[in-house]
Amino acid sequence: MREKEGEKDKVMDKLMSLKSLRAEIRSGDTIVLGGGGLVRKPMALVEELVRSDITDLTVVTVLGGPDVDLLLGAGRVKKLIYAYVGFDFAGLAPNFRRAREEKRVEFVEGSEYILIAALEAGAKEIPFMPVRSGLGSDLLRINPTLKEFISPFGGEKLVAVKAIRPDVALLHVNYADAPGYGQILGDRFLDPLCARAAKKTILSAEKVVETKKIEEQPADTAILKLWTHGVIEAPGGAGFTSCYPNYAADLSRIQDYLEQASSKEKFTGYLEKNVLR
Amino acid sequence: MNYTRRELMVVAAAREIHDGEKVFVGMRLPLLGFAVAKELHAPNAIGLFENGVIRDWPALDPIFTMSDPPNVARSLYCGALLDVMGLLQSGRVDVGFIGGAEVDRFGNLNTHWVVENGKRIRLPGSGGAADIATLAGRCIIIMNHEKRRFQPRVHFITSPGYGDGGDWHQQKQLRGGGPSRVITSLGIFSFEPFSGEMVLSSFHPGVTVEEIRGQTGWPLRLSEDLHETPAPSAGELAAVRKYDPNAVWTS
Repeated sequence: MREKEGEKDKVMDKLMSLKSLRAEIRSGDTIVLGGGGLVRKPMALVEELVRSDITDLTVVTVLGGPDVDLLLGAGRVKKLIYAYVGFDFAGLAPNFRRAREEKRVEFVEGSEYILIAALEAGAKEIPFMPVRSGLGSDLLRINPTLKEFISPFGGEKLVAVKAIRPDVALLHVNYADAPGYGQILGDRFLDPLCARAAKKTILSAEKVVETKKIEEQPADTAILKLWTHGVIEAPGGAGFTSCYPNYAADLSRIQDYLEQASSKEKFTGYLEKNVLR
Repeated sequence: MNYTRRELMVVAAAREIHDGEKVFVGMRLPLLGFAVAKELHAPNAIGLFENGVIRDWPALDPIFTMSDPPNVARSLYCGALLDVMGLLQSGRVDVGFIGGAEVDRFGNLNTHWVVENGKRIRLPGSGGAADIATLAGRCIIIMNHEKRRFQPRVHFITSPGYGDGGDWHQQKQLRGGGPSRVITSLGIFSFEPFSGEMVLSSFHPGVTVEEIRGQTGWPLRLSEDLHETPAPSAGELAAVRKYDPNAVWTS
């Protein structure tokens, strides 16, 4: 990062190269990934992680897709906290399944709202959030970060969800400016919450724009610069997942990925050819 | 028959949606069911998508994910997952559609893991299903009807139905209404009010009760008003085909 002389004051410039992402994340860190399923996944950032030697990550994702599957397949995950990992209509996530069945990774099971509550608590730096989700589900039995309790106000049975405060959020947006405002033109999934909960946020953007372009459509701004630590320009950075309105999910590349990930041996080849190159 | 089983399932889903309801629509068959309901008898129903999209009218072009351009373009609201999931917590969603790899006689659903050939097979997890199951006003389960999926007891309760039956649902203080229907590829089930047990209320045209019994992993009970599922009307079929013209989901 460098500081640029603005007309009136010094404007922080957070632009960085894809490669410099490696210096921002340490082995053992907790990272949270934005997007959902096959939508606006930060694939360029995740692939860069796979090219680094960063490992033993705790990965938090509400709706994981190829991002989580890739990290699991590359052996970089120590612990996964999630509500869903899959390829939506296209099927199950092959590396997720294998990792699960081989018991290589610790899995912490939640639901969408449980993950939302954990990140909300993290964002507010309070120890837990009360929710109504989880009652009656086996999730309560196997997830030690969920505890049933009685509300001190009115006696309702509720579930306390322990806070999650990730070290880094990795998000892909349509536009970002150098100071770190990020605009999302389609649905936002949980990206703003991920940014609020994490200690720092790194954005990849389809396009880096001047701040005045951000000012033209303030309602599209989803990520505030006060959360953003770094901005990386990465056209096509959602990979074969969709990024409205730039591109839809690429069905043939998704099928190809699933085929290549169907065995460990094939997937090693896929990584070498498509990611490590 | 001039329609497919899946078309019938879509129509059955549509018939469950009342006008003016707020519906957690999901994807595929329930999404098509929502489209058909809007087109025919529920023009004021509102579709909520967990990615944050809220639409009055379903997209005409095919979508594979909720965030594909046709679903986002011309939506009424394009926010975040928190916005729509928050509606569930406060009890403002009338009906949600969920499915699973396994369901049991009390409507509990499993999307975590199943056992095949003695080996545990890992499934995607809850997603929003556990939230919808306990917090929507009622939920509709849609599944293929196969014996391995219709288990006396699910291996894991991802999304609770009526638990062990009886007053389990009240004991757990679940705020939602619980499952009201199970729409399968063979028939439609409802739930007995006090026991919470699934009972067969209709069999699809061309399906016998014996066939359903054979694909159900517990002693099947029949509703007193057991009948044949009414076949789709011409209007219903036309609506299904309008939204799935190439039969991507209903072939």
